[in-house]
Amino acid sequence: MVVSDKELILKAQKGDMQAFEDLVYRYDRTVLGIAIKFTGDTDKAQDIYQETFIRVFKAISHFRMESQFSTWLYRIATNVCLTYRSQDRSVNHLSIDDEGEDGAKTAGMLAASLTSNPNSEDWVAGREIVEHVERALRRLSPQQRMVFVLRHYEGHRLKEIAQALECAEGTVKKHLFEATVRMRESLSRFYGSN
Amino acid sequence: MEVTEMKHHDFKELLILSTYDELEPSQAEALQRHLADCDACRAELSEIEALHACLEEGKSSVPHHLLWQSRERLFDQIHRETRQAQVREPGWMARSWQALISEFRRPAFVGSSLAMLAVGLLAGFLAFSGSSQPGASLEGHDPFSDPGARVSRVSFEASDLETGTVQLAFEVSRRFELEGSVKDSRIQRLLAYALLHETNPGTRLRAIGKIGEVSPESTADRSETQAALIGALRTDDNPSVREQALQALKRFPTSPEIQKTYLQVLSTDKNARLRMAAIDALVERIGSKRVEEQDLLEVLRDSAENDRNEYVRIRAQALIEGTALQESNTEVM
Repeated sequence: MVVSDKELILKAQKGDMQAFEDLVYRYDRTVLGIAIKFTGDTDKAQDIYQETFIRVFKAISHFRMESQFSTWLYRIATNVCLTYRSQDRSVNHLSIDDEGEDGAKTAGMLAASLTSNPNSEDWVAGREIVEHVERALRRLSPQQRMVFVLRHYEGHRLKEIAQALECAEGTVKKHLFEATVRMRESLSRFYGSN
Repeated sequence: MEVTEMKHHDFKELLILSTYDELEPSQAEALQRHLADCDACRAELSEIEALHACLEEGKSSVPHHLLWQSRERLFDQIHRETRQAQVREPGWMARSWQALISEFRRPAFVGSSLAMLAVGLLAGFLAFSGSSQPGASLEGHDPFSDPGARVSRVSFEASDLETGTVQLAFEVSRRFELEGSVKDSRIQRLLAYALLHETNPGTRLRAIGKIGEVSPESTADRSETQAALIGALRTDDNPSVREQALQALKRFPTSPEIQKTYLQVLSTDKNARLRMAAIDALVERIGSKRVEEQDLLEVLRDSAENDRNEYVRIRAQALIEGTALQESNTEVM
């Protein structure tokens, strides 16, 4: 029988470390995925992962079950991402036209870490696409990027994203619209559009 | 906006939302009607779908080694912070240790200078601080009044030249002796504590040896002992300690946590012996059952393809194919 989040949270609140670990293992792949997509850098993504779950660990005794645990967790994760970005201006302000050394290096590192089998024939082509997608993502504003990552890659409903980001659903729609337009602009040459 | 009032430009947002299945039924109907008459919007929709296909191609999963590494770092930090909290302020994570320490504060245990295991710092701090606040004041207590107490790590925190006062920080510890059967719950908790906290690897190895003398069924707090073994297997920097912890864990009943730990070892441990032991432990647990768990499959596939050790690669592939036990039996024969 699958133990519910609520049961794990109650146990964790009583100091059951195993229950806390089980909660982490349920959601941490998603959190790391969001962080990787958001930062385009595995080291920074690991920092965000760490900070997110440390905050959860410290605050779980105060969690009142008034929202879903996942909503609360993603709210923390998105806050950490956005705060991290605001501290890290060097990555935040990559040029729109950036094809330069820094951008290529970061995207290349990410691509290398994300493609699982460097011996496969598809690897080179796959890596190129991954690099361009990552670069296009970094050209979005932090809010646009966060909404796009949560909706497109993580499959969250717009309503859930609005709760996580603590903003109106209309704002989320606006970010998603703008992000999609900009992603099209950046990537259209790779799928044969004008 | 009412769907009846929508103009061509307004449908652009709906086109994007439709690809995410985020439209209200009335919006979806209106969009379908509009698409039937609008070539530009149909072309736009095709482009958005092409973008999604492109993004799908450039999609990447979270590398499991990165995930395991992140988990390891996270629980290392939590472990460190919890330890500091235990010393500063016994909270919810420290209660069990506080309970243990309270045993030592009974007169029967106080008075000997023979050290068995290093629990002195925490015990001494609690015994002397009275209050459990960080950097607690020693008002009303004199650490030098107890001949068994030891003061160490004295540091200057502040000094005031005008008033001539100084603020010092220091640690007060005391050593205790506990004698008893390895089945005694207090001994078992000390062994678990030593396994995780003692700096001497020899002591950690001896702690595992003593833990191994008691069957898991007779272990007073099985989860605590299991957690200590898992902690050692995940984080101990000494390969012998990790290997002994793995062997001791094999005697415990199957649990998801133990399996996760084997996977972590298989995925991240740099020592080939440990990875070989981990794959053997997985074979023992899984046998010829079909592997369906995604995490497990991912790690096994990665090991089967990429592990530098041939034995690990072969065993991982056999586990995926459900033939690992047959191979084990053949080897025995």
